[in-house]
Amino acid sequence: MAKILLVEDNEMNRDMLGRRLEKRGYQIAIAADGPTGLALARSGKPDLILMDMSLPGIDGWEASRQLKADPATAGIPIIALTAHAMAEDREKALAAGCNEYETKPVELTSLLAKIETLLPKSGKPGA
Amino acid sequence: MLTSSGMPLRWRLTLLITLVCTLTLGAAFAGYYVMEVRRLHDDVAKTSDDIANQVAVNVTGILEKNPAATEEELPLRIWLTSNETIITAVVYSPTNKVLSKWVRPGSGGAIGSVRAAYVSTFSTDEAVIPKRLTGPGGRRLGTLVLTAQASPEARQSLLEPLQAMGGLFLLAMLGGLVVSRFLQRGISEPITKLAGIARRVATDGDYSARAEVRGGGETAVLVEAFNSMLTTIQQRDAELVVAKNNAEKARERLAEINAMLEEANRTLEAKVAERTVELHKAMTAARDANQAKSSFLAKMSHELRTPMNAIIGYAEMLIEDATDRGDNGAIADLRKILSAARHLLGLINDVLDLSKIEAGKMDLYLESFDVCTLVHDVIPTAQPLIDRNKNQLKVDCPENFGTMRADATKLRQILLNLLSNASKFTEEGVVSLEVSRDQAGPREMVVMLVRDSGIGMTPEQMGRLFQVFSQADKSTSAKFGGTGLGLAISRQFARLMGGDITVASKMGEGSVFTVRIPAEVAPVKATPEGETTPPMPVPEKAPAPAPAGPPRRGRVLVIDADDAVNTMLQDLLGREGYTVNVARNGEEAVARAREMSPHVVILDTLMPGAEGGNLLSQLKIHPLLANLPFVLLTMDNHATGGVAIGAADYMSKPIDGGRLLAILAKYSAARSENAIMVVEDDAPTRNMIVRLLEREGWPALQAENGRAALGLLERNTPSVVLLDLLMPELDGFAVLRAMRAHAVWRDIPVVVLTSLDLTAEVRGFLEKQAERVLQKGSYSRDELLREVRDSVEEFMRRTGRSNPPFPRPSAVASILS
Repeated sequence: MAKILLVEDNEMNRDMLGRRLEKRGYQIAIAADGPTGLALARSGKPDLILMDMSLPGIDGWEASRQLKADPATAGIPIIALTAHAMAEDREKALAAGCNEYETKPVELTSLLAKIETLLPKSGKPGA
Repeated sequence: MLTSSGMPLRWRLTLLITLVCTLTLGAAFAGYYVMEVRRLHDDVAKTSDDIANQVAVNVTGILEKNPAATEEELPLRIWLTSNETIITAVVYSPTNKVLSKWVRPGSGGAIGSVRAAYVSTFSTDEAVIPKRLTGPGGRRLGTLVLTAQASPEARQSLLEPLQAMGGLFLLAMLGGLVVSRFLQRGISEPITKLAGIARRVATDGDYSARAEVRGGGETAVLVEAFNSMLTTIQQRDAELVVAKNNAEKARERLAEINAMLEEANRTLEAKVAERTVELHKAMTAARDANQAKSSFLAKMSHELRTPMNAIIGYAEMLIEDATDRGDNGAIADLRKILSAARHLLGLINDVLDLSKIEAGKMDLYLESFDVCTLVHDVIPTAQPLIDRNKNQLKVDCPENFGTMRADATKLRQILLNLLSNASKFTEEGVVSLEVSRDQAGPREMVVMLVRDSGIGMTPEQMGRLFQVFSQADKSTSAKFGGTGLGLAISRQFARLMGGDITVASKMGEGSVFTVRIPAEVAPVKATPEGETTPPMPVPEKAPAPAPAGPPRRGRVLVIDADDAVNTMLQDLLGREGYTVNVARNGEEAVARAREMSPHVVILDTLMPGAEGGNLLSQLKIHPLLANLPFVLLTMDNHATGGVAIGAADYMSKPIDGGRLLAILAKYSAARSENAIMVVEDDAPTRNMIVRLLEREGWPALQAENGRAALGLLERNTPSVVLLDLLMPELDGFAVLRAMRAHAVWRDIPVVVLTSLDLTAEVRGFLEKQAERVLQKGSYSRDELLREVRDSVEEFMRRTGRSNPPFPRPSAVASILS
């Protein structure tokens, strides 16, 4: 069962997305801010991180940069979740080291496809 | 003399009349005199003829008897003494021998020949009378010649009338003078007066003077004409004076007005300045307000999105749950919530787009893509909308249509908007999408037609169509839904890309929307003030192409005190494409080296003053010059000294141009091992940069995307990488990350060339990872080359290599080591 770390400050979004992903067989870890997200990423060794970009404390871009700079966590794929439907945010996220991005509101089908692409083959749900 | 122009008319007239009188009277008198003389002559001849005949008879008689009679036998004296008119007589024989002659004593007459008698000239008072003497049977006996003279009385009577005539002549002359005097009054006087008046007019300008008209005839006509001319002139003069006065007044008025205008102008300037300040304030305020509005809208949109995110997500979740439970009633209601939420989200997105367009913050992300692929990508999204009103969708995109370069996301949005719009207003009809190219204009356009068989529009409705929040009819939004922003946004997008959307429609017959987008969209830069966005120079055009000429090979610094040598080398090397700067001494050399960072230095060791050799060692310890190859100019054929102290090569004077070029070329050729890598997906831009680099003497490696770039890096170590950010397969960010993680590649400087309008954050990231970030279209050719140059130097510094363009020859290096 693939472990996904969801870093999202908005409670409703976090709850909703978390539950929907759990329903599809993923194991979800939750962080509500950047520092927690970083800590969980280092300790929990998730298979993939869903990272909101506008986070309190350390924002998603900075958190992604730190994770990608750390050899221990550099290999974890990160999907940026951004509320800005702006291409510059996409660039910004990619520049920060994120592997993919998804514009909010999240289109679940599209997000699932991206998760599937980025997850290591062995980490597929149900596997 | 009569025509002498210098003589007054008066005198000429008098002279003429006197002359005419003289000639006439002279001729009359001459005629009279001649006639009188003739008469006298004839009288003499007639009275003498009888005597002549008598004497002729006497002589004939004598000569008949004796043809050779002597003087005694021919007593002329006896026959003639009584008659006083005859003054001479001669008898000639037939052989013209004088037989007898007589001359009246005291008469003064003379004897001539016979011939003279016949041809004697006219004489006033003498007549010669010749008589032929012939005998019986016509025998010629001789000739008698008499000379007769008028009596003194008769001669006196000839002279008397002449005296009377002299008096008459004088009288006639007097009369002539009187007549001329009179005529003068009639002709010359009026003319003289006229002349006087004309002179007065000319000198005094008194046009009021008038000549007196006397009598009639041509003179009077002339005077009248003159007077009328004067009248006309007088009138003109008066008019002229009036006009002059008017002009003067007008001029004064003009000066007044000018002064007023100047005053007004000054006031105006002050006012304009004042207004400009006000306007500026107002503009700033308006701009601020607009910015505030835009950022408010953007922020609001963002704030609205977050809860929307939750609403949509939970609705979807609940639908899933309800589906699992088979609770169909709940599913229908939840779908309504979801639909309303999506609609609201669409509105929010549209408002966000519009606020960005208005704020001029809407950027274009240009990429090359296959047009038909994009069209077919849109269809699955559009299909549900088409199906809703039981419409049929026909797509016509020719195979092998090819690619275009535009903002794919925006084009997709345009097509989706138009298809959605078309199907919204069409029921059980046909919606078609046709794609074609238009190569007629200066730019190739991709044309997309969205045609429907729907309700159509009136011209009035079409006019409002692209306005924000305006559908064809107020009632339509109630009936058909939609934000009314879609078409306005679509048109703005199309225009942003240099194209447009137009519409043709007929009420009840359907509508045709035509999208025209350039096949190669030129990049635009967002303008925060929402001003019209001027098209940025397309990559093919900017930076400006280098002037035609020999390729730029490298920069050479010439150090020589001799200006002639400097000029000669500048000419020689400049012609061959080198950039040459000259310095006259060590100080200047350092300054020039700082300005131009030369690739090679040519140093004259025979410079007066400072010794070339010493100068070389001085320069070689300067950090700017230490690593540069020096070519020495020397008289010495053996370069050992120079090379030993750090020269790369030498040349003996006088300079052999060919050899010098060969030496420089040797160093230029050594540059190829350190190429510049150009990573850029747009071929024209890539080619342009490569050309530019090669013209400057930099060899270039080319990669059309990030993957190709990494492939090339495996085999080559370029001294600089020029990196585009947005590329297919692997983008610039990934390349940069890969390079920085690599043990060898991390030292290669990267100059990012991007058309993106980078946020401060991305820029910060890039600036940490790359040596330089250049905005496409805004940097100049020289700027790019300077960056490349600096980066190469940076590369050399990092890798501890010698200066790559002119690496020190190994022979020299070994001597030094």
